[in-house]
Amino acid sequence: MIKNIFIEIGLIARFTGRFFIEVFKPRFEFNEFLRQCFYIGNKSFPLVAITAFIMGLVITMQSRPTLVEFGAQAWLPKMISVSLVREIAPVITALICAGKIGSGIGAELGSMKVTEQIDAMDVSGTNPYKFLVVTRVMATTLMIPILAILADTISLYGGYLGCNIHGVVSWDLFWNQVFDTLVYADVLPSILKTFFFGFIIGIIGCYQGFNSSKGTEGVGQSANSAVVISSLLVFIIDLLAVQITDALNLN
Amino acid sequence: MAQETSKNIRVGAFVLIGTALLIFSLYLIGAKQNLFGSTFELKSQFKNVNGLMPGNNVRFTGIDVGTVKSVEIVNDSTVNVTMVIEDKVQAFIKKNATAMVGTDGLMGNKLINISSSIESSPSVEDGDFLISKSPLGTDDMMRTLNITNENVKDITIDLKNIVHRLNSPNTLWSILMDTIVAENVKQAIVNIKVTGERTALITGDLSRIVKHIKDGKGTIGALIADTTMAVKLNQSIVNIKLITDSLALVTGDMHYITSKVKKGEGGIGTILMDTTFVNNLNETMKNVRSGTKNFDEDMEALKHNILLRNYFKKKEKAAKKK
Amino acid sequence: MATVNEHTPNSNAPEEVIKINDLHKAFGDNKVINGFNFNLKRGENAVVLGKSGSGKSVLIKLIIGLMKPDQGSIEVLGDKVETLSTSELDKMRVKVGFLFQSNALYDSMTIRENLEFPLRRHWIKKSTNKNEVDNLVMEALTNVGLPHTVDMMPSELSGGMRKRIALARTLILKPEIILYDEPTTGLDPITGKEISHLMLDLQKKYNTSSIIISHDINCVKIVANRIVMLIDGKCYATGTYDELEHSTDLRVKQFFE
Repeated sequence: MIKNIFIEIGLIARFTGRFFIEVFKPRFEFNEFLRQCFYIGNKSFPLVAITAFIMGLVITMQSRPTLVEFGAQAWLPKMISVSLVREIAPVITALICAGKIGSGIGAELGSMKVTEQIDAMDVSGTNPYKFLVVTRVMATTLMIPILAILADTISLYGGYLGCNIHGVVSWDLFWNQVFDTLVYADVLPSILKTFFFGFIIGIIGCYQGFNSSKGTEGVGQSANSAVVISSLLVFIIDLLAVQITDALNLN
Repeated sequence: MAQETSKNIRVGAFVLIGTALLIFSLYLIGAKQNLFGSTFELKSQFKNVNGLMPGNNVRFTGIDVGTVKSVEIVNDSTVNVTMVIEDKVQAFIKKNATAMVGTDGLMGNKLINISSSIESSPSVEDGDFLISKSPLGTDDMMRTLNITNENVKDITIDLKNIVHRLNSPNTLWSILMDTIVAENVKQAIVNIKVTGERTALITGDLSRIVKHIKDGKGTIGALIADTTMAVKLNQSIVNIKLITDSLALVTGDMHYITSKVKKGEGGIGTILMDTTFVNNLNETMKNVRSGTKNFDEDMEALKHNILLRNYFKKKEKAAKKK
Repeated sequence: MATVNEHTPNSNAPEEVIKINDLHKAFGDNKVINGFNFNLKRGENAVVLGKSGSGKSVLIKLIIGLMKPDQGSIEVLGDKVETLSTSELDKMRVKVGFLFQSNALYDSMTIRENLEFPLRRHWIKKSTNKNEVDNLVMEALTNVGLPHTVDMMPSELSGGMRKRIALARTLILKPEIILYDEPTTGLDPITGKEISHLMLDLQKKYNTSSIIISHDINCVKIVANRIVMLIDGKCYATGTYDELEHSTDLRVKQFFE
C-alpha cells in the first residue's frame, strides 16, 4: 500500500519532469495550445464568474454582522478585499477548475488512451506527450491565473453589492477603499500561486488520463482521481504559499 | 478554419482583458503608494516610531499625501524616517511644519501626521528635515500623576499632625520648643514646594491631554471623546489646582510662623494668641484635606476606567510583589 | 503440409520487408513473446493467428515501435526498430501503416481532420498544399466508399464505417507495409467480410505487404497468403490456410473448428 503510494508519487514526478524536458523541445504545438486555451479559459469563465460573484457577495454579507458589532462596518470593503484577493478568489477558481478542467482532461485523455488514440498519434508522427500533455498543461498554467484575476474582480463586484444590501457604500468609495487597502504583497503572491494551481491541475489531469487503465471504468476513475488529487494539491500549495509569503514577511 | 480563427480571437480577448485588469489594478495600487507620478522626499528624526513601517501613509492636514519610504535606526535614540510626498502638496508644506507618529483610527495602521505651524515660513524642498514631535505617552503621564498623589498624601499627613497638635492648647508650648517639630514643618514646606511644582507640571500635561481629547485626537481621543472620562480628568485637574492653591497658602503661613519662631521674636505668644491666624491655618488644612480627598476619589474613579485599568493593575501587582 | 516449429528463412524468396529474430517481451512474469521468429515478404498478406491475450497485439506494437522488446531484433525495411531514435521512428512510420483494433479515430475532430492529421503532422512527408491534401482525403475516402462522410464526426458513424475511415486514414500516407490489429473484431460477419474484401482490394491496388492480427477465421480465409500460429509466445506453425486447416496438430486444429 505505502509502496504503491511511493510508486505513484515517483511516476507523477517523472511525468512532471518529462513536461519540463518536452516543453522546451521543438516542435511547438501552437494551434493545439490555442485550442486548449479556448476550452480551458473561455469555456470555464462563466462557471468561475458565477462562483466568484456568489462568494464575494456571501463573504461580504457574512462578515458584516461581526464588523457591525465593533461598529466598524466602514471597514467592510477593506476586510473583504483582502480576504477575497488573497485567498478566496484564487482558491475558489482553482477548485472550480480542478473540478471542471481536471476531470475533463482526465476523462478525455483516459478515453483517448483506452481507444488507442494516443498510440495512433504516436504512429502518425506526433509526439502525444507534446500534443496532448504539454499543450494542456501550458494552457491551464496560463489560463487559470487569468481566470483568477477575473474572479478577483468579479468577486469584488459581488462584495460591492453585498455592502449595499444593508448599507450604502458608493461605487467610488468602495473601489477607493479596496485599492487603498490592497498592496502588491496582497496581489502578486496570490496571482503567482495560481500559476502553480494551474500547473498542478493540468499535470495531474494529464497524468491520470495518460495512465488510465483499460475500459470505461478506468476512464471514470482517471477523471475522479484527477479531481481529488489536484484539489488536495491545490490546498497543499496554498499552505506552502502562505508559509513562503510569511517567511518573506509579506503577510 | 473560420471557426478556429474566431476561437483564437476569443482566447486573445480573454487573455487581454485578464492582463489588462491585472495591470490596471497594479497601477492603481502603485498609484496609491505613490510609486508612479512625481514625488519628492522629506525626512524626519524620531526617538520612537511606535511600529511605523515603510509603506505607511503620510498625512498633511488630514489628507493622504504620501507614504513612508524607509525607517532606519541611526543610533540608540534616533530613528531616521524618509517619506515620499506628492509633488503637488510641496507648496503647502512649510519648513517649520512638524511630523508626528500617529495612528489611523482606533486599531489602524501607524502613520505620520505633518502639521503646519502658525508662523509663516518658506515651502519645503526635496530632502528637507522636518522637526519631529513625540506624541504624549499616557503611561508617562500616569506615572508622574501617581508620584504627585503620593506626595500630596504625605504632606496631608504631616499637616494633619501639626494641626492636631496646634489644636490641643496644652501641648502648644512643647510643640514650639520642640526642634523636631520645627524640622518637620520645614520638611513639610519643602515637600509642599516640590509637590506644587509637580502639580503644576501635571496640570499642564493634563490640560494638553484634555484639549486633545476634546479635539478627538489620538487613541484615547477616539475612544473617549466626550465621555465621562474627560469630565473626570477635568475635575481632577480642578482639584489638583485647588490643592495647589491651598498648599501655597499654607506654605505662606508656615513661612511666616517659622520665620517668626526662628527669629525668636518672643512673639510666639502673640502669634498663638492671634486666633485669626490659627483659624486660618485650620481652614486651610481643612481645604487641603478635602481637596486631597477629592483627588483620591478622582484617582479611584480613574482606576475603574477601562483604559487605565491595566495600568493600575500593574501598579498593584508591583506593589504586592514588594 | 504444415511446417511445425520454427520457420526457416528462404534465401530464394522475394525481398523480406520485416525480419523478426528471437523476439522476447515480458510484462512482469508474463512472457507474452518468447523467442518469436518471423519474416514478411514484399506483397505478402501474413495473418498472425492466436488466442486472445496471446500477445498478437504486442507483436505488432513492437514492430511499429510503440513498445520496446526485451530481447531480439526487429528489422523493418532495413532499419532495426529497437535502435531507432524518435525522428527515425517517425520516418519509418510513414512507410508502415497501423490499423488500430478500436479504430482510434480522434473523437474531437471531423473525418476530414482525422484524415488530414497524419498528412499534416508527419513532418517527413508534410504537405501544406490545401488542394493536394483535399485530393488525398477524397481519394482515401473514395477508396473505402465513404466520400460523403467527410464533414461528419466519428461518433455519428457506425462501427463498420468507422473501420473504413480508420483504414482510409492508415492508407492516406500510402504505406509499404500495413499492420492490422484485429480488423474485423466487433463487427457483424457481413460487415467483417466486406472489410476483409476491402483490405484485399486495397492491398492489390497499392501493392502493400501486411501483417494481420486476427482470430476471425472468416477474415483469415479471405485475406491470408500465409498464416503464422502464435502460441506460447513462439511461432508455433506457419503455412497457407489450406495447409493449416488440415493440420493434425491439435493446438493448430482448434482454430479451424
